Parts: sequence; structure tokens; C-alpha cells
Amino acid sequence: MTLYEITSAIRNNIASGLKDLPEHAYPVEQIMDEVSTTRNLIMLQASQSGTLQHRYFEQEIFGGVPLNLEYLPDVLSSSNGSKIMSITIPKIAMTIDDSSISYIGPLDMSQSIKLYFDIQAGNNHKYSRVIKNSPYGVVDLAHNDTGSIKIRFYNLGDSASIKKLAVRAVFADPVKLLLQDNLLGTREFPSPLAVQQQIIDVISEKYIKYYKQLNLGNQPVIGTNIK
Amino acid sequence: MESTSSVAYLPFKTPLSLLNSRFNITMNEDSYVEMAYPIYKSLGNAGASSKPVDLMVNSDGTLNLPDDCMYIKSLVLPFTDVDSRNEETDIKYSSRGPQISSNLDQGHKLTNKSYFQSGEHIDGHLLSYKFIDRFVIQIISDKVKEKKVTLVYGSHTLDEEGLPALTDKEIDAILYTIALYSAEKQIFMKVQGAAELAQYLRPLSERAIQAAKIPEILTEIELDTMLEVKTSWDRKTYGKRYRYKY
Repeated sequence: MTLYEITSAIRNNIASGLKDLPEHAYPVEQIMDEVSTTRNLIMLQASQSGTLQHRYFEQEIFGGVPLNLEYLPDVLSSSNGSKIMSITIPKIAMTIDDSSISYIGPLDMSQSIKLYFDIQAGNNHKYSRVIKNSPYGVVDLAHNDTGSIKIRFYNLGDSASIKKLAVRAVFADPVKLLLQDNLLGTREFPSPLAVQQQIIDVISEKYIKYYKQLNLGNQPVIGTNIK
Repeated sequence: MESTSSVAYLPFKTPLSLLNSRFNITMNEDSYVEMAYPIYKSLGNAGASSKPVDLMVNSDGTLNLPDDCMYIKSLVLPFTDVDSRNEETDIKYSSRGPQISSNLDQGHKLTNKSYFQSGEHIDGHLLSYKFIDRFVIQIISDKVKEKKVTLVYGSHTLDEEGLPALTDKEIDAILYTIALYSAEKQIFMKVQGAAELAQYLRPLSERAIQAAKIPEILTEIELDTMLEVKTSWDRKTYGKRYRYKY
């Protein structure tokens, strides 16, 4: 199902469950945010029980991600620095073995670039026995003000020939990525069908249960001071 | 052993597909190479094949070694027709020792390469050298500058990507050991059940490593070489080296 279909299913469930209440129409954007967070909650619960297959939640960034030249100032002098190729991608989901990014590499999917999720581990790549001259990337998990993270690449060689990289990953906010590409109505939501149904049930139950209990309605007046 | 290196025909990255099909382990190619190469070296079969190559000595007496040279077995200046005959004493030097030339020796063609040769012993003057760099040696002789020398070095058979080729037994050893390393990594990540998995894989890995250290085929020359090490002289004839040369 697409995100529009999931959202409309939830709204219909809420409307039929809360029809006794005067106000039961909730904004679509609010429900979309709930869909994203509920998917992450289900992934966390599945990983704890050992049943998570995170590759079924992957998304791709259509058209590839452009490689940017980043200027890193030198420690001793700010005038001489090093130029590093880097890309910026949305925030990725947390996995126990740092396997949320399944592929980063050329657009033809020919070579997967090795990634380090720890900056110190990336600095130690040069002490590798065999692969010290092969290309690698270091993921900086500290996100910037827009919520995106940066991946810096080293040993790319003739980097002028590489303009874009393909990315396949499990992102923390899949709705945000769909909104960026304007694919809400046409693109399948990145999760298995069973999980999509689970998302609908969880959100519908939450809205109906919480807001029905919290909305007490018009209560009779007892014990007034009118004389 | 030379002949066992000839059965090393599989690419170094062959266990990658087996890891996925047998243990459901997927890993980046570079991560696999970094993890598998020390396992391959620990098997002790590296540098098993001997390769003779003709090289030109530089004008300063240095020699650049090939990239796949792991260690040098011998460095010789090959005999020429001029060198093989000393004009003063008329003694012809050959691999069988100095021989006085006679009409009967005209029929012997020492440069005839049709006889069996193991490749480790090349006829010629043995040269002394010292290492300047990992792949550069300095020959301690002024007479070999800008001349052709024959280098016999130990190397391993390489696949298309320049990585060592593997035998079937080496593939099993690398496969089980990498699976064991993955299980041990999960122990440090506190994954439940990883300790039992590592306990299951450890004896399999040790058994596969021991099996990979034994060559698959033993030729007569290799058996002869091993037995010569165990005895103080040649096992067939006292005081002589018995080689099939002609």
C-alpha cells in the first residue's frame, strides 16, 4: 500500500470508532508522522525478538546522491586544509550490527564501498593489512540542523569521474523521504504488507482507545451552589 | 609445495558466496579480504610455488623484485658458452662439477632444456645480495651490472584480481573460520545464542585448518626433499645428490 492508502485506512477506522464524538477528524500530516514512528517501534520490537528482516524496510534515494567536495580545515592552520568527498543523506535507523545501510556505491551497483560507523574505526582503516588503499566511507551519525547525516569518503582515487552515489538504506523517517520525492501516492511504503496492516491496527487502536477514554463528553451537573 | 600450488585454482573470493548459502552471512568484499588474508597466511601454504624469471640488473647493481615475490630461493647469473670454458685450464664447469673437456663431451648439451627440471635449481653462478627495500636488492658484484640474471622466488598462484588462488581445503578452512569470527563478534555484541554458535563452530574450524595444511598431492621430488631433511645424507646413495636431470 502507498502512504496515502495507509493514512486513509487509518482515518476511516478512527472515524467509525469515534463517530459518537463531535470531533474525530485528525489532520493527515499528523497521521503520517504516526505511521513513521509506529514503523520504527515495530522494527525495534521485532529486533528484540530476533525476527527482524531489516532489508524489507529499505528505501532508495531516487536519482542517486550527489557527491560534494567538503573542505576540512587543518588542525594547525585554517588556511591549509584537506578536501574530502562527502554525501548527505537522511537519518538512518538504528540496528544492532550497523547494517541499516546495505549499499553505497556507484549507480550501476557494481561495487559496495566499505563503511565505518565509528569515526575512530575509520581512522584505523589505514592500518589494515590488505585493504588500506581501497575506498571507504565514515558515517558521521551526529545529525545536523536539518536532521541529515554526512558520510565522508576516502581513497576514492579519481573522484572527478564519480558524480553521484546510489544509496540503499533503512531510514529513520521514511515519510520524510517520500515527501521530498513527492511520491506519497505512487510509491509503495517501505515495509512488508503484514507490517503495514500492523501499523494501521496499532494507530487506529491508539486513537480510538485514548481519545475515547479522554473525551468524557457532557457530564450532568451534580451538587451546585444555586439556591 | 610446488605441485600443490597447481591445484590452487579457485578465486580468493569464492568463500563469499558459500558464506551466504551455508551460514546466511553477507559481508562487504573488502571486509572479507581483510579477514580472510591472515587466515590464508596462517595455513602456511603461501609462497608454495617457485617461479623462475629473467630480470635485467640496473646500472647501479640493484634489482627490482616482482610484486608477487614473497621470498628469494636463488639468484644466479646463468652460464654462457664463454663462461663455461676456462681458456687457461680448459676445464668446463657444469652442474655435475668441473669436468675436463674431451671429444666425448661434445655431445652433451648443457643448455638443453628438454630434461626434467624442478625449477628450484638453475645452472649458473650463485650471486650474493642484500635487501635495500622490500622489493629492491643490491647485488654484491660489479660484474653483473646491466646483465640478465635468473631469479627463482617463492610466490603464490594469483587469481584474476591479483589475490592468492585457493585450494578446496583452504576454502573450507577460511569458510569455517570466518563464520567462527562472526559468531565471536556477536558474543561481544551480547547477542543471545552466539556463545553456543561459537562453541559449535570452533572444532569445525580447527579441523578444517589442520586439513588445509596437508598437501593434497605429494610428488616424488617433494617426498625426496622431505626425507632428505630427516636424514643426514641422501637416502639412496651415500655422499651424492641423486636428481633426475637427464
